[in-house]
Amino acid sequence: MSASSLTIVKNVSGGALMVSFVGQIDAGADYSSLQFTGVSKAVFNFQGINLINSAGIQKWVKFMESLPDELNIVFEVCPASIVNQINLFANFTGGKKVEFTSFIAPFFCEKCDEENDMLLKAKDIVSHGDVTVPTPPCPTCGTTMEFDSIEDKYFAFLKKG
Amino acid sequence: MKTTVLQRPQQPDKTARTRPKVLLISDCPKLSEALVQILPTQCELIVRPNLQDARSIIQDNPHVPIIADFSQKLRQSEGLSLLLHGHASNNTVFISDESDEENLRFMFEHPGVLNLMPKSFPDFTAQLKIVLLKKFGQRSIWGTQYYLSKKAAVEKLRLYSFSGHGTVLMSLHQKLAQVKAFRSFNDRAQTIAMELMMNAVLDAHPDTALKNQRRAQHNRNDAVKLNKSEQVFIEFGFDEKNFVIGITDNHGTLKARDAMQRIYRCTSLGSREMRMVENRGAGIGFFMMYGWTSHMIFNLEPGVRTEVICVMPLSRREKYALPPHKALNFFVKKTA
Repeated sequence: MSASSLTIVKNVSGGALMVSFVGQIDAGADYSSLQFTGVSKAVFNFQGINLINSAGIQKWVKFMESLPDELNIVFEVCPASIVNQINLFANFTGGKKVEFTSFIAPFFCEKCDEENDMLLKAKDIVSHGDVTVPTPPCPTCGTTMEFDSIEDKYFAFLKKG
Repeated sequence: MKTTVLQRPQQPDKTARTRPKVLLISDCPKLSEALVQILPTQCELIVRPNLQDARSIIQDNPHVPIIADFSQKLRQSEGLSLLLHGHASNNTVFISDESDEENLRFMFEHPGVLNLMPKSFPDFTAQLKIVLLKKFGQRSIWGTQYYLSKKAAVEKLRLYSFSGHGTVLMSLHQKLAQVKAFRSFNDRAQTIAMELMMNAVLDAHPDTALKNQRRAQHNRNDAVKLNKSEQVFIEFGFDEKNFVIGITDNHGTLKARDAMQRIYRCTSLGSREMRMVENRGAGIGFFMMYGWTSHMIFNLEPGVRTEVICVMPLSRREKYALPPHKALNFFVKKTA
């Protein structure tokens, strides 16, 4: 295999380290550039992740486990590939408490016969631990779309946060 | 004059004596009817509705192949574990419509039960026939052809170095471009192929004297040059129902029990134990594949080769892609 194609973009804003991951989370992923000294919060944005494999998951879990316990961790814009791994692997978050603020969910428009990924905000759909699955309109024809995965499984991670 | 007629002693019917028996434990008439159609004509099908009635046959014939409808009632039968433990139970084909987790647990707790075929599985009868033909030596265990229609064009490639796996993924990508499936289907197929190639390369014992798997010597992102004898064989193709990927190594170090343990451990523990174990994989890859496929087939010839086949149902909708219950088969060929 070639070297990892994971790029990490970071900046500090108001005491929080904002991190964007772009590319693949695989065996070559290197998180050593991330330092958490002097920050109380870390916001991980996964929008640019296009693949995660088994070796990548192992490295990711080790990285999560190494984070300071007192750090507030936020996951945002998690694509389906990340949501699926969070749901499949109980310690994807390395045993840390993580706040999931936003994520991508697959929807399907029967009329257009087209899939549409929608960005959902957790605060809009979770209330007292219950998830209300939205029925957004199709961006092309306006018809109400149907969620295109198994609801109980896909939204399970929101109860882990 | 009194004549005594000497009767020629009756010759035992050779055909009847050697006629192989197959035991079906099920109270489902449809299943026994299906089996009569499936089994070769020389086989004698013995049907018993429950374990109690089947017990003496199992005890008297420790090698009789068992096809068992392991519904909840049968699973709770007293002495089942003991009976299967004493039996050459790798002859057992396990039919069930319990949850995938329950089925995995049953297989994990009964190590000889290596074949699961759910009753609700698409083309159940045809798939059960394939299991039986492969299991009872009527067909070769190798190849993806059993899981695709005859018209399907199957791509066959070889991998000579692990740094060269990008070429394989490119060919796979071209094939995937021809199918109509939900958006993340292609990523899943690519990940499955990559995971299988990684296992095929890293599970090898390049130094047989050390009995040390390559996994212990290399990182997973190392470029690894494969000897000619180590080359990895890749097959993939699709028909109107499924996309199938099969990858074969040339060393055969994977054991059925290990593969089963890895899948079950991740399922039951939700990955709490997902760590590298004794320089082997933690099972994350197999678990991911199991989650994305309807049917996984492990063809194993210990010390010679391993083939892992993943069947991914084609669907425009992710929601309806997978059947309610998955099939899992291990076929083990004993090296002569």
